[in-house]
Amino acid sequence: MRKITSELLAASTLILTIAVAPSAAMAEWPERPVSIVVPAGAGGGTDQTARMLAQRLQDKFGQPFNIINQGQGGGVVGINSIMTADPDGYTLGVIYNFAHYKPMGQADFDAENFIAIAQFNFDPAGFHVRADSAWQTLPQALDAIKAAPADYTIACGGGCGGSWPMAAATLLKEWGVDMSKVRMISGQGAAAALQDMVAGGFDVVPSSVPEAGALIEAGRVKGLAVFGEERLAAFPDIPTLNEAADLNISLGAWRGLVGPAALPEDIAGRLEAAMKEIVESEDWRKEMTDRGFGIKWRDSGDFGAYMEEQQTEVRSIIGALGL
Amino acid sequence: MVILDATMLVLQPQTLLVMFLCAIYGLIVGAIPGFTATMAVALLVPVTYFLDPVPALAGIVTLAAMAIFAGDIPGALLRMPGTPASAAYADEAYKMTLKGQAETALGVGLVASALGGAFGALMLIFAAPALAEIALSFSSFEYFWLACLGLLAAIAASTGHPAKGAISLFIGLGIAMVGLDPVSGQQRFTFGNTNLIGGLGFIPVLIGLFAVSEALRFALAPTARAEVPAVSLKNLLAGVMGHIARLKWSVARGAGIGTVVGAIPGAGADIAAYVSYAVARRLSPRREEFGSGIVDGIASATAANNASVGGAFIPATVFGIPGDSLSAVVIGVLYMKGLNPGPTAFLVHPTLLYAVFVAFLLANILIVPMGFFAIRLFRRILSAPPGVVMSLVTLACIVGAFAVENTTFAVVVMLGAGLIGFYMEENGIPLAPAILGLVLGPILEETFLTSLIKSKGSFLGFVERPIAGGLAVVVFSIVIVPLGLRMIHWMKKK
Amino acid sequence: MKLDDSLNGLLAVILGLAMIIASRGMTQIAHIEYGPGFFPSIAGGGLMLAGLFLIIRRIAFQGGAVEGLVQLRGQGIRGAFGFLLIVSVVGAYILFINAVGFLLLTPILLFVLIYWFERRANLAAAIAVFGTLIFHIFFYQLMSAPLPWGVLKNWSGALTW
Repeated sequence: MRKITSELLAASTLILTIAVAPSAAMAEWPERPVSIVVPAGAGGGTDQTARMLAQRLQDKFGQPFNIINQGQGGGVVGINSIMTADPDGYTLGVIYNFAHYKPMGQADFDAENFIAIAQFNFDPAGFHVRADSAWQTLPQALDAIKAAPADYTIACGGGCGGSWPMAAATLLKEWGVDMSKVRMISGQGAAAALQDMVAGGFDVVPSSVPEAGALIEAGRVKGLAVFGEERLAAFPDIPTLNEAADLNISLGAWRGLVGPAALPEDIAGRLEAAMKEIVESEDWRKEMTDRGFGIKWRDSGDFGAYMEEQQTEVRSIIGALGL
Repeated sequence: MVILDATMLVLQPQTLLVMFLCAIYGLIVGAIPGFTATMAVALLVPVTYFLDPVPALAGIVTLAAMAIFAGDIPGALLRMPGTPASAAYADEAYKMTLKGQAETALGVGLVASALGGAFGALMLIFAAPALAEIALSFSSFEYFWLACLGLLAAIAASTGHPAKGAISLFIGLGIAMVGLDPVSGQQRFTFGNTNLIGGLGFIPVLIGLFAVSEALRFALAPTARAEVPAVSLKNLLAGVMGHIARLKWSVARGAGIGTVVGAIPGAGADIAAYVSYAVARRLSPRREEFGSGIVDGIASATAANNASVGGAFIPATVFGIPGDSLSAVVIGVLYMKGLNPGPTAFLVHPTLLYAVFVAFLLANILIVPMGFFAIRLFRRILSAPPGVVMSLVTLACIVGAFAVENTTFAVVVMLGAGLIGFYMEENGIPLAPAILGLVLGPILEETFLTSLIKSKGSFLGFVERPIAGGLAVVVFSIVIVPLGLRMIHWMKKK
Repeated sequence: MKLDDSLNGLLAVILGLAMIIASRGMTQIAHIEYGPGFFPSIAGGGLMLAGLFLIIRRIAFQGGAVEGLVQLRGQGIRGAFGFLLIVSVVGAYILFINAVGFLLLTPILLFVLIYWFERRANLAAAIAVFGTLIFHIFFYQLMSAPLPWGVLKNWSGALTW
């Protein structure tokens, strides 16, 4: 009995081997599970959007797309994994505003270390102050900060190179504020910073508007502007930057799918096509909106150019802030 | 209405199943001498990592409640407390076993544990949101003093010599400093290594300190299986309610003491049990018989250690300041799940938090039926070959550390932490202060430096705000009063 | 391994000193006089103080004395070997897991450990295989943690369900 079992086992192993053994020339990507490295912890915005994406890519390509969370060091470890991965199409990554790591001495990656596949998300930053703040409009706040930049504190949320503080800093620079005197203070994320502002610790907290939503509804925080092209459907009272201060810029956090720089073009092309279908699909748009994420499509070429442009802009601001 | 929604979340089949499995796991691990509740949680975290927030946290709090109770079982039957929380009365319970009253000790302990735990859970449900309302007006200045308070208590409450408690605390602070510093993002102790820039992961360090060190100690001196006296189910139930009715005030007092002691940063279940045992003895009409094997002190102390778990969750959820090493782990998991603890958590996702609280209450009620089976099955639990258990624990450590961080480097960190933990325990350096230091260190540093930037470098900022000033007075009096008392004592002696 | 408290104190002093030296090279941050080096130097100083305290207590009051300065507790050579075995098993996992793969390496490691402690080959083999499968099914198949495939990489597509 035992002998028969072992022979059966051997035979089935052999069949399995022949059936699925890859021969490199014929191999059609993907023939085994694909990993998507998420340089952020489980549960956050980047993780949520990446999981929504992975599920749909899995449906399109018929292989599992597994999320690997590597949020250590503010994402440095994960982004490094994407950059140094084998460019065989089996390791991809979702990245976000990353240009600040290099000038701040935290890591060594540039936009050209990645091949841009597609951008699928953009969330505009919001400019939040205490509900009882004397500032009623954005220009009032900006003028006050310009007049005495050292008198006010601006929370960075997380590290000061992140998307929200960089958006606020870009705005201040556009307004002509002396950047070397501005006090930007890092912390444990936007939620903690908003609470600290309510308690009187900060004057301004830039963050995504949904993050401040609970405190805005509780009447403790007000939003002076949202840095996007249109008002947000969930917060129709908050004016855009254009309406509030007559500035035509759009600032905030973006997320996109990338691969290591040497990823073969045919794989990148197939992924880009699949991404386009996903981002245009009805259920994706609904789920993103329901969860409070903004949708923004940029194809490979536009996304690559956008990353380069962001990189130049952010690095010049970090120099000015003296971080 | 939030409570109702939260209850519905807990009653989801997935949550109930996770709680049930965690309850069994907690009862087993708690009942094995040498395995602490913190170690059980450390090994569970990687598993819950993949679950939704509510089942994950419900599972962890269930495990904590069960493990603290289950520690009583070997304490009574073998005189080996299953967890340090049961150490205060293991001797007394064992004396009852020698007198043939093991069932009374365990049965009364079981019901008192559930009552104490439920009281702690109710206090958590009602006190935490009220405290959170106050905490909304806390800025980094207040948090700085809270973190100081936690660190001081961590040393004061640690077992063994205070200097060794301090060494443990500084080791924890040092571990937390590896990586990018929390204020300027500069690299510290990284030697340019990308893995080290990511820092030493909290979970791998935790698993190493508490579980790998245990495996190493076992390897050095493998323990044999113990002989367990038989326990009859009928005697377990008989007369329990009579004792509980007689001791109701003692149990209530124990629950109250436990909740308060648990909520004090640094003091945990073990200290709660010692304090309430001592109080019960002082106030009992039968104080002469304490220590000879009577159930009175046990009932009060076991209510206290279970209540302290709920108490410890109050500062953990409201401020993100851990009360003991167990709640430090819960804080780590809250961060991992994106439910950053703090007063805004009660505004942003109240339902999820209440669901965890309700689950904790339910877990404490479940102690009664499930505990009876654990007592009955205790002989079976201890009949597993210890070498097999430890080998599987070692593998669980490796896979768990890897699964949370997704890097092989996490296993390296875990091994290093295991060797350090082994060294520390062998030399009487307690582990709990290190874990508190690991959680509190970054908070302390960040609140100190950011507060200083806010106040433009002036230290007056730390005492200007009324609550901050009050907390500062508390912190300084904790340092100065005992020193002063000791000085007076010393001068009198001369 | 229990050390004399004079050695424990010395270790703490050395570690503390190293932290202070390492933190001296760190820069300040904008706007205030403190920087990333401030807390490491406090922690280092604290370690040194606590270590010195242990040494003084050892010299003045014989507190924490250990005969022969180092005491090895446990079952002598066999215990020490078991200790090294656990360390080597974890070490072997770290070194070989990516090359060999979880499904092949883990049963070997588990077998070695269980056999060492229990001396029962059948039991060790059975638990090694079943234990590995259960860990694999739970962490890889159910939770999709990326346990390495190693030499089985090319078949991972067929073995994932």
